[in-house]
Amino acid sequence: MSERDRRAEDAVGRLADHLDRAARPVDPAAARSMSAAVRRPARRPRVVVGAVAAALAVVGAGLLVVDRGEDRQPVVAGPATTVTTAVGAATIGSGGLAVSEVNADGVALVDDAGDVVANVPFADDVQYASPPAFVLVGEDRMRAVDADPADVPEGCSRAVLAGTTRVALCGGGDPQLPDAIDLVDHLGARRTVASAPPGHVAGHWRSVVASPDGGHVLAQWSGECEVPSAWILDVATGGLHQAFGEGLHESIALGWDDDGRALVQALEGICGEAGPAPGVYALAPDVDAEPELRLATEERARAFAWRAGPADAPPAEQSALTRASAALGWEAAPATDGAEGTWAVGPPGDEVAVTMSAVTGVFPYVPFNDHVITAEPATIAGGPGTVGDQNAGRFAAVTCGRRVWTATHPDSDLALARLAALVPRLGCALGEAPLATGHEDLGPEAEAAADDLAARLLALALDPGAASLADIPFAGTVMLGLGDREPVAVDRADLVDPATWMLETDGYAAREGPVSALELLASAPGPLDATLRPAGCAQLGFPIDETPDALDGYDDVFIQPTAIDTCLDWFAVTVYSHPLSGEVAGVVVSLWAP
Amino acid sequence: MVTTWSRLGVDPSLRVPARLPHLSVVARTLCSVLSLGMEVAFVVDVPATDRVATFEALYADVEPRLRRALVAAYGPDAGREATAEALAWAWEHLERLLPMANPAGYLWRVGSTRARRARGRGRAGPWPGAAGDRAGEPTTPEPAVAAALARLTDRQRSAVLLVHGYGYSLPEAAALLGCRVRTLRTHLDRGMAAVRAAVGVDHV
Repeated sequence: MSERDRRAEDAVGRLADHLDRAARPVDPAAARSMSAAVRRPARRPRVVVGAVAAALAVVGAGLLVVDRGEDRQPVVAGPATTVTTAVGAATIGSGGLAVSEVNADGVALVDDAGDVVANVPFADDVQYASPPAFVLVGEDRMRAVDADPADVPEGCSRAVLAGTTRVALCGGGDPQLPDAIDLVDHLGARRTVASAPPGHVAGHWRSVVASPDGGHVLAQWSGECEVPSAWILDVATGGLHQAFGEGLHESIALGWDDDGRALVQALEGICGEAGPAPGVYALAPDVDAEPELRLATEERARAFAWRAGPADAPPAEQSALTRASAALGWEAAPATDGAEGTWAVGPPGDEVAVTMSAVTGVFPYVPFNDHVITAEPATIAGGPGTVGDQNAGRFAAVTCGRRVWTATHPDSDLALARLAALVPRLGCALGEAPLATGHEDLGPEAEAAADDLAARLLALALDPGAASLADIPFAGTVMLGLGDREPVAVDRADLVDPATWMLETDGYAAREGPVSALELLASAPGPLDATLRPAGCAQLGFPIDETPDALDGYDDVFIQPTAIDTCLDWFAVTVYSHPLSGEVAGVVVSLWAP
Repeated sequence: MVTTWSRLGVDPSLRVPARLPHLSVVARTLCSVLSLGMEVAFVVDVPATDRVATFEALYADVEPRLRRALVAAYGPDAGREATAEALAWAWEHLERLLPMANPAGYLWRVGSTRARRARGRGRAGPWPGAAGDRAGEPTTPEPAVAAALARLTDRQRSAVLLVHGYGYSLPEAAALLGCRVRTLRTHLDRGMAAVRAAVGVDHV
């Protein structure tokens, strides 16, 4: 080590010592005592006050209404029309609401017709001030409103298109904490029409949704102590007023109904302030509009809204997932397009990337083992499912046929809502018996294909030559690898030479000397076993190395001996092929490590 | 054909963590087999009388490196809070955690998620480059290095501090952060390049 490196390491060491002193050890008794608070967060004081107000609302809702004046008494509407989709068990409204009610038993997500969309048997912490989850659902189309196509101006965090005007959340010095609403016309001219709402000093704007006619936007303000309130902005005049009128009450901006009314959820009053009874209301954008109660809720319920979108149907040739993803406004990653493999999607303008995957797996095991933190059984859209936490956020998952479908989002309820909205588009019935790992479950064709490829590779191993090489659909460049080490790229033509297949173990699996996939196959005692594993489940049940990065996303045929006397003789030759073309792109050897 | 460990002739006891002496042989075997890919689904029963002692043993094993890793990633305050929340999670899910081959790595992910969630809610900011420079606390000894580390990704910063700050081996740090040694080495190289630049030296 050079003197210069030593100086850098010494500096890091001194900083580490300093951090050790700054963050003293956690008391184990304290950790035990706080476990309940982590699992079910204690309500904040303002919520307790709100709960009292909500209890009053249950016992005597009229008292609260009187406090607000007779002219603002909510009008209870009937349930919205719903349609039952042809496939799947879920009933999704052509326009309506989904409410997750947090109660002693957990969280229930129901639509406004009263049908339960999902049940989750535990209550997680609720984030009131998240962006509106406004999912549009129609006969053939659905999309997320938060995937607004409007460009976000520099220094702003979010923008929507209201007619020809962009409405953006800006200012505050931090793009993630905007404290102003700007209007940007079609020529790029920009002006600030609102800053912090009247009576608010601390806080920031979290989201903005344009009305169907573009004349108004519904904005979400997160005030001091994360108290949320919904505000309506008149785009033409810049006039801003709070939903439900002045006062300290919590409200969530959900979106807009088909008839041009804002959908706002009332949670509770603050510090004894009177407010509307907890529930979801439809409000005309006028200042003095009378709120119409669409759905009464518990005070801690989370609500989502959707409405029918445009009728332009997606191309018929697209897969169910492609159609659903496109309709949701999510972008499908091209790497696995058409194979219904793993999709990495992120709505443009969304603060947090949303991922969605379809892989073969063993239910309730979720196919992101490296990332799953908690997993709980749940009922989703009438079928058995799983919800929980993973590194990237929270997820909901169901089995549908031989696949596990998941939707993830930082918020469990939103993940549930998205998955429940997607279920009718999956093209299969929920709760079908899932696959166990192995090619038997993939059907005889897959089994035959795996055996055939293994037989061809064995033929090449036993008799290397141009003819046996031509029988294998190798790609022009093939990656030859050992374990999870970086594979080497070789030309297809060179594979005819057995020397090309030699790889130096150099300590891998406590071995020294060269090893060759062809030699291992040719010298294997007894028959070989070949198993086809689709992309995305290469790790399930097999004690082998991780897939090399260069071959991630490929299907593989896993070949291993069946007649060995000791694990030291065990090996595996994994043949990676493109999920669509079938071209063999890589061959990797795995050896048992003592 | 479904392939299992038993068909491969693997001795399952090789994968049983040594800290679980109270488990029966059957349970240890099940631990080994089921922890291959279904850590989240496997649960063992721990008698209530042993629960505190088992947790204390787990705590002694994982707390220091868990705290250091989370502090490295999220700063002293948020990192310590995340450590406390991860350990609270461990206490509540002890039966699920025990069979795991790498509980510290699992808890790092729990704590990391909590910390990122707190960061998302605005309760915790980015990594404090001048940690401890508040009134009554000792001054950061290496402000330039701290500032350089603050500009790294969480993983790069964790790699640098765990390996070069606390002296963990590459496999130990990689296991804790849930990544491969090769990946860790990449984080380390990039992180140390920034540190060298901060102390005014270029790597040769």
